Amino acid sequence: MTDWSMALRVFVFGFSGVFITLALLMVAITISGIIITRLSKGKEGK
Amino acid sequence: MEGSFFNTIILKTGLVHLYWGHVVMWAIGFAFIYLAVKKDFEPLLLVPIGFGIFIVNLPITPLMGISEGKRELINIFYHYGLEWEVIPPLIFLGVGALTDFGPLIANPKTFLLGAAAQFGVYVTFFGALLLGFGIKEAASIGIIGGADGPTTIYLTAKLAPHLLGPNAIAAYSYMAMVPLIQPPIMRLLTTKEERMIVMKQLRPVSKLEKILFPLIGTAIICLLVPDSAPLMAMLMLGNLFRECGVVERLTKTSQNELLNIVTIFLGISVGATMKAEGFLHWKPIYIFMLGLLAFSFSTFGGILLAKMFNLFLKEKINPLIGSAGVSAVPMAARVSQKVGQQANPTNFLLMHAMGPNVAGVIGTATAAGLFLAILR
Repeated sequence: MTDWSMALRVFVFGFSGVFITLALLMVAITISGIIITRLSKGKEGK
Repeated sequence: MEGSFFNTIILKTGLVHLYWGHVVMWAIGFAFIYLAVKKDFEPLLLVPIGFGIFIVNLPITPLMGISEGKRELINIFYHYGLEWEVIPPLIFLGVGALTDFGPLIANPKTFLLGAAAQFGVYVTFFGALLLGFGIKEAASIGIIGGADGPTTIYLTAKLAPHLLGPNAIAAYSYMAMVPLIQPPIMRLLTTKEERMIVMKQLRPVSKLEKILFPLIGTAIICLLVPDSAPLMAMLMLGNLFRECGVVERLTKTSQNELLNIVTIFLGISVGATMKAEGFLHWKPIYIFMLGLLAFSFSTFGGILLAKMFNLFLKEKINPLIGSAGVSAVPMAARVSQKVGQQANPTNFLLMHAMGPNVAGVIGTATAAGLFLAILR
């Protein structure tokens, strides 16, 4: 007997979890990229 | 007296234990070797898998069982390699050492395409439930849609070890068939104008960014989804070896010797799980059908999100790169490039497609970790 409410939880928690994790990675990589680019431009300016 | 001795000897040969199921499995094993040798379909895996199928279906061979309390040869590889979860993370170490995350770092939006391409994982999860599989079995079948062999094996070994053979075979077979499966779906979901979109060249990525990526990636993913740590930590360690530039010997070992050695043990162990007695029934047939569904819907998910991006972005992206989110590195990215060039021969999408392609690897490992977190 399939537990459909559990299956729905797996879908909602799983698929949104993948999106949230990768979205956080996207934000972290974007921010670190901006910081590193600015720092390296600052060094070149000096 | 001599007659009974003769009978004993005869009974100890495999011939009297042979039945039609073994012969069918030999044919399947030979078919894999044929596909590898003649069609060049994933030969590094299909040759040992095909041979593994063949030898475990030679009756009463002491290879995959337990005799006198001790594991037999291939059972040792299987037990310590797969049941102890050693081989898939080691393969990820090699994959990390081979992967350039530069295109993903240069265009972080493509992380989301890698997430969207996990859509097929969840569609197939429901499909498997509808066909009567248990919830853990359905999760292990769904992950085939991630188009990532080691992750499929890792999750299946934990949730449904009895499906290891068919799941691994389905994952690797469909990965080899990405150039056949994806293009019709890509053409169906996009207009010629969309396929012709030329994307701006990616910015150069500094060495510091490439070194920080595996550290940031490990921290975020392992904090949010600890169950994916064995795969993600090894993937990122391999990538750190590659990018830090001071451990060339470790990088080369991870990329070549170590990866090749574990591939041998992986292939033969997976093949050896396919004994006729356990394989010849309806479940593997359903798994193969569901695997195709998984790849198709993952392709659909990636392309659909790329098209949705274009509703909001000033600089449009070519939706064909969304299909590369299904992992299958780098074949899916090459398919995006090929289909794009058919519409516009001057268009070069390969590097753009590598972003979602490697994001798909991370996305699939994350999805596997989430399945484990919920179902184990």
